[in-house]
Amino acid sequence: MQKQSYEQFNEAIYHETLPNGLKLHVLPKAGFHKTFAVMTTNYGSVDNTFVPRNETEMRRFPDGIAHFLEHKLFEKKDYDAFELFGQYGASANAFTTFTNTSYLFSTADHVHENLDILLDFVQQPYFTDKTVNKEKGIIGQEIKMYDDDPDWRLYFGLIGQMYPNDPMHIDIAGTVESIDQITPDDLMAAYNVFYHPSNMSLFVVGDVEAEAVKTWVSDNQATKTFLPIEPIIRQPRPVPTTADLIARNESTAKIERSKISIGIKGVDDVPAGKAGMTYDSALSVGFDMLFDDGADDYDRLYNTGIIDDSFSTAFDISRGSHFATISGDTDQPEVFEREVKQILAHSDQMLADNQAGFELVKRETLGRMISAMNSIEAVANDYDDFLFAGSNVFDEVQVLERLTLNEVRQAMQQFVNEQAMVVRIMRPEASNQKD
Amino acid sequence: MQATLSQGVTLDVIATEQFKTTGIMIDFVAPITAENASRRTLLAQILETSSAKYQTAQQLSQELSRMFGASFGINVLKVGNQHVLRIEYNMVNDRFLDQATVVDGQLLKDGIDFLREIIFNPLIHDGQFDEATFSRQRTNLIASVHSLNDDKQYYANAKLQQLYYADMPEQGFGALGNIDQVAQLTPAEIYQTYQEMLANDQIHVAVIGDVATTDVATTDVETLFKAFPFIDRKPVVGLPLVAQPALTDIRQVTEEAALMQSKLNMMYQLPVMMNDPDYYAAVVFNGIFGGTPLSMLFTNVREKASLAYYASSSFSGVSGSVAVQTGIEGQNEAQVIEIIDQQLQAIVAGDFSQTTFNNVKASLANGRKAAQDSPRQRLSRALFARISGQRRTLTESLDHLEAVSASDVAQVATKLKKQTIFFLNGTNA
Repeated sequence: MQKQSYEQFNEAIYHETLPNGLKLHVLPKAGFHKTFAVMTTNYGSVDNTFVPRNETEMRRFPDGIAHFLEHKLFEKKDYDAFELFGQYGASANAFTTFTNTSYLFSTADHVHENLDILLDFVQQPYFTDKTVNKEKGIIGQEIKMYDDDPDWRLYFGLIGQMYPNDPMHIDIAGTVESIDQITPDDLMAAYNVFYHPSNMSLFVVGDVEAEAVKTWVSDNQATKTFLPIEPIIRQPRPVPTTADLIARNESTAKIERSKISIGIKGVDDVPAGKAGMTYDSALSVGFDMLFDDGADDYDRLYNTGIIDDSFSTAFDISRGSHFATISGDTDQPEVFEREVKQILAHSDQMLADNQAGFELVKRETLGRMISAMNSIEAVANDYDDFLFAGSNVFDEVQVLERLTLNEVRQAMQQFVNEQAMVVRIMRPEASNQKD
Repeated sequence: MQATLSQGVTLDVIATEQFKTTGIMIDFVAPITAENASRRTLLAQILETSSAKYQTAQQLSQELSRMFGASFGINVLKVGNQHVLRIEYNMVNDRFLDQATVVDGQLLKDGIDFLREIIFNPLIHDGQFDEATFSRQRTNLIASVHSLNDDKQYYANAKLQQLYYADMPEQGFGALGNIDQVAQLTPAEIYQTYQEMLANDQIHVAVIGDVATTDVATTDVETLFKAFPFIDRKPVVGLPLVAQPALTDIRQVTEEAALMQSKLNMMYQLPVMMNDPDYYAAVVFNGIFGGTPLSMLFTNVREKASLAYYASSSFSGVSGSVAVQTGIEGQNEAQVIEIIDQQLQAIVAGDFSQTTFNNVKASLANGRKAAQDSPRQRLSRALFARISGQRRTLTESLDHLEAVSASDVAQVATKLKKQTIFFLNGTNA
């Protein structure tokens, strides 16, 4: 296996691409008691239109199909994958994002057996009308649970305003109506395109030896036959633009206080490959310099009651999109909006003279990244094969250490664009009485 | 390593090279009352954002950034009949930083100095907390506690607790206390709460990390904490148990709300405490009933009947209770209650598979082993051992789990008594 060492942290990651195309990564952690493995396909909710195998035309599939498929892979003809993991006491789970679907387990014992279970349940689909229909009630309740969550609605509503013509405006789980249309054939068509090993990665971290893991995985894969590797043809996503934004949305809901979220859609180009990591890091540091709780403006807005501890900013980057959000609960959403926009309008001046603030944010970010290395789940979930030509927390630290204030200013100038902003405000209903 | 810093003030040090950080937790423990919970919650919020040296949240935050993004927070929790104000501090071990920028052990010393400042040097003028800080944090606390109700799973559980503990308000309100009292609190009262806490609380400190090997003698953890001016107080040791008499009739409340999903929450009494011989049987029972994805609630309410996304139970060995929660269509309430009742009856009848039984035990054992990889869980475990006076090694608890038989589980299940049902009926479905 190819070894990538990070001596500063006394860590090393081992890489291998198997003959069938599966990308395997192993991070042995001495002294740890458990092992965590996550298997990911580069397929998420935005990939709802693609050319199925043995077909020639684009086909649109029901919204929520990637997430539905995630649920249904666990159930087989005469067993449930949860039960197989259960024999060894391992806990298993899965999740779907806009661009990826991941399956994972965590265990203190029997890593080899659990790895076989993971590879086998992900690689042996079984879909029937009966099992598919049964899942509709369960996912229907999952959708309704999130529909009742005001923060969730604020966040996904804001994304919808930024990307009205991109599948990102659709809920990852779809709707009660759209999932009702899903059939076993639909699931199999999606499976055959996206669950080929060449479109997947497996990350194993914990109480393991790299070569042993490689042998286990190779042996498992050698017993199976796979369809030939074929290029995946997805519907191209719309090029991000400011032309289609829905600039404002104001609504009322049964909530205690007003919520506001401001989104900035990235309409610039993210640098390709590893340079994308520097861009990502520069924007995270830039937003922290302007808005984290050490910043002058944060202090002023906090002390005047415009923002409180619910205030947060985030920068999100994934295949085909990148955007920032600035959110909080407040009694004065109009003032919140005006102040945040003003800070953004003057961001370059504020960043330019603030070498001390830059060093402080850099220090803080560095410490947080090193702390995250304690968690094998965080290290594994942070690993992304399909972004920046493969990225992990150790590379991120090295990128951060080299980052300059100039790079932060450049990235912020490139990204922050007044024309690319959207606002969503949710106010309490007038009749809403406190308990 | 265990030490006594003063009478009633303890220190636990877990020396390990497993982690890249050093973690510190400090618990201030006092019997919970309806009044002191809300006061201590506000106190936690004030101490978290200010001190005499760091007068604003910004100054405090910048000091944490300077110490390489050390994380710091003060929260409150209820452990049975005790109220805990918990300080958590986590810093990078400077061995992993560029040696040109830091002196070995300096971050640890700085971190402990910081905690000393927070605990002993609050922002006080004329015998009361700084007025501006006080009123800002009081406003923020009231707003954030009200906002918690926007999370309907939280809300339904809080209502269930209030219903179950209708005659014990200090339990019903939980660690945050009665938020309606907070608006009347004054800076002088909270200063008094602070002084009482410092003088009378049981205080437990726990540290985890590679603290044994620093080169600098002045960063010996025990020496640094021994220098804290904790005065002696009478040590109190005892299980923090809550005794709630069983109800003769089930208390049932239904509330309507404009929601897509209805929430069904139920509370059972299970009078088995953490020191009882059948405690581990109760733990395994809960795993089979609803505590794991292998459980009968998950299997029957979700997987077989397709009625819910979540359906689970949790058992507390300090309050002797089992809480069940699930999110469903309002019209299915009776059917879901019937299925839940059937699962309990099945366990009482011993009608659960050997596979489920074995898998749940394996899963509980696995969880206990895996917890060793979390510095936070190891610290809270050490502190809970101090609060309860009951210490079990990992091997002991694994042995106890292993010894539980299927008939032990059926036997303990006969002790459950349904007490309260809170149903939040969603009318937007």
